[in-house]
Amino acid sequence: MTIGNDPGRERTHGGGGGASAYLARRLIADARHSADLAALTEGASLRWPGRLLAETRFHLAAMVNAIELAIAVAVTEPQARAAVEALGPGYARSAIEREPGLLSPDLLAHLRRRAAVAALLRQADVMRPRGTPPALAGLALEPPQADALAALAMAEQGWCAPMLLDAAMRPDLPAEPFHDLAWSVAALLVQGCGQAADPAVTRAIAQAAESVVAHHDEGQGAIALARRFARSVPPAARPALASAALADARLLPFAALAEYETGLPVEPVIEALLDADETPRHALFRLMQLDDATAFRAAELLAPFTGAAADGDEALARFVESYRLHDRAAAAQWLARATKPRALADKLALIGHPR
Amino acid sequence: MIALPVQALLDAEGRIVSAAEPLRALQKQAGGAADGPLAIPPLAALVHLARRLAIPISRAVEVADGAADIGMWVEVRPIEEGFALAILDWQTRRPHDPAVGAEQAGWVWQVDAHLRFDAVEADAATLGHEPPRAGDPLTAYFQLDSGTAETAFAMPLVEALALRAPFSGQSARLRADGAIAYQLSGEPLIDPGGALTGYRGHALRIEAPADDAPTPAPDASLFSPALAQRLDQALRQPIGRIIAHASTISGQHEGPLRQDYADYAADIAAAGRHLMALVDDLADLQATERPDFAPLGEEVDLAVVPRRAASLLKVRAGARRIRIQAPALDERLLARAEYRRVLQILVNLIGNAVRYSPPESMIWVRVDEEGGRVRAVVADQGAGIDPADHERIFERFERLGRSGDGGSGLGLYLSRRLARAMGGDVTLESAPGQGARFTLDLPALTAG
Repeated sequence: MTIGNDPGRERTHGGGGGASAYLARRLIADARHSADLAALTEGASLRWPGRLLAETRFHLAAMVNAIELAIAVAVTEPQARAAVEALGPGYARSAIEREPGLLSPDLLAHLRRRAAVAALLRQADVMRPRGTPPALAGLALEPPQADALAALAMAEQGWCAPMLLDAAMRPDLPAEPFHDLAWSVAALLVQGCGQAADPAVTRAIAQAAESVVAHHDEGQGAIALARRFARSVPPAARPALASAALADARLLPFAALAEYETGLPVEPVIEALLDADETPRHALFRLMQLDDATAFRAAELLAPFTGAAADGDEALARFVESYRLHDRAAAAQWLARATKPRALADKLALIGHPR
Repeated sequence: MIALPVQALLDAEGRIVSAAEPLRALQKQAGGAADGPLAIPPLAALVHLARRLAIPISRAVEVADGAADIGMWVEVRPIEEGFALAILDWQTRRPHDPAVGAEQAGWVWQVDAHLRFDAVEADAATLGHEPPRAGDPLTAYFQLDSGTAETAFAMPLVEALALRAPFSGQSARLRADGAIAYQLSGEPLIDPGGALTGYRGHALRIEAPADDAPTPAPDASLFSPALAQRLDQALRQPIGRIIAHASTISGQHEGPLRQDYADYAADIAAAGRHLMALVDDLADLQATERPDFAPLGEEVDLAVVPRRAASLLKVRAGARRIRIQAPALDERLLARAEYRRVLQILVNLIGNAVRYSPPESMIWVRVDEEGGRVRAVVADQGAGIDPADHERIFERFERLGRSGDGGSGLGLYLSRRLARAMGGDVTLESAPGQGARFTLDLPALTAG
């Protein structure tokens, strides 16, 4: 049981009863919510191993807590403020657990990628011998690159904070998922305040949510900082840095460097790294000029998410052997397909294959 | 200290050509021949992978060694004649044995070779008090008992440490709360090279014997001893970490950084050092005000100590282009005192002179002997001190209205108390506009 799933580590809010009753309630709620999230993701084509579910749940809860707090602070109308405050802290987080359907597929997909990045960062320190520096630290960086990488590392640390469900995490999401999540929280608050009774309360919460959304700056998020780092890196240095980033289990700098090298945006790069099909990984690794040893290590790191872990070392060996056969031409073909507009790809697929 | 890797050479078929002793022992225990293929399954699997793919492979593995588990980081590298195998970070962990009984009950702790806590398997809720934090010295967390008045001196932990042996029955109390008593037991952690890497053991809470509980001495200090200890513990470690991290950042040891950020970090480190100095002063204040405070009476060369103090303050003085003229190298003047305390006093007196002297001025430190007494005089060209304040300046927390200069208001008070405890004194001669002249007076060694 992770700390995030450990109800004993949560601070209580509301409710009566003894500690054991509270614990039992939280256990049931946790189990139910985990099941709900699992059910939500069941039909999806993407793999959702337990580790990703737990991490996603933590990120979702912590960012909802932060957005709820921001909206509550931005509510200026006294009656609405009193109504929101009466819901108690952490209301939206527990409410969203009852309404997981509020989460759009795009938001869930983004959270899954974010969870994978964070889960790998959590284990980065145990993926090298104690006392040895990270691979990225061993490369000589110019001051602008080093500064950008340090800023990114600080943002990454925020993603792998202790997994306390009632903690707050800076919702440093790209604009679209932030918009989605902020309005989900607003809707839950309105519902909790009994919006039908007083339209003024609904209006005040909506205005507060608009203000929070308007003030959101996606440029301060870890993904933007990763892009800033990659932009500062000369093209010739990208492969070595990308290789070191993967060896350090840091997917964001790798993905950002890959974006600048291949033109494929950060999020599809991370998606490709997590894909159950190994072709996208082969192509990306080839395009980023990863050697066989780094490809092996990356495959090993990503195995829990890609499904390769089930077959152990045999799957890793097969991955490297087929990587050797995946030449640059094949990688370029994959990239051409992956960077084609989706609508165009769909139409091209129909030509000669009428429905 | 990072232990040297345990290394081995394997031929192209994966058979051992040569191996360091710890690996040979593990191979033997696994039933493998000394020159046969590796018989330790996780290591053999790595060699198999490296052979199949012809690439270097490294990963953390767990190996069973009898009742113990060994955690290690293994690197297998193809070379011309076969494979080079290196094991880094070899950590032997012995599982808790519940059959051992009460001696093994309690919570588990682990310390490094410097007796600083590495790991603690307990939390405040189960202990009923704060657990030690990683990096805390064991002796700062526990006050080790050395036996009662009726028994001979006995400190099993210290004896075991000397012999690298297991120990049990070490009585201890929490420094934060002397009413909480423990029995400690532990066993040494040894790396493959035979070096001690720490101790792992159990802390079993026991009833504190009422009769030999430390009785608080009558105390005229600001804080009770327990509170002072808690303050000391609570402040020293976090401040130390702040200083260490800020110094690392300002020194750019982990990569280049924009200069203004490095400067901010240097400011943080400087502020941290000031806070640490204040904690040190408070700890000294507590120590000197205890009725049983007694400095050592050792041979101290009073001509050498000012030179040492001046060299410690050279950077600070140089920043303000202040010159310190210490006693000549051939001078020798023996006092009966405690070296550490004399140095502390002179660092304080010369440090004050540096702080309050104008830039590009001079500070003189002279030593002389007269009538069985030896003296060190620190004179500066500062603004001087009104005679009306000459005694007041030796009072604790007295700053004569100055603030923001990094002083705590305890230095002179402590210096005089320390000097008097060694049979001497610190006095002042000064007048406004004429600089200040502090004299440390101590008994000469020949005075008996």
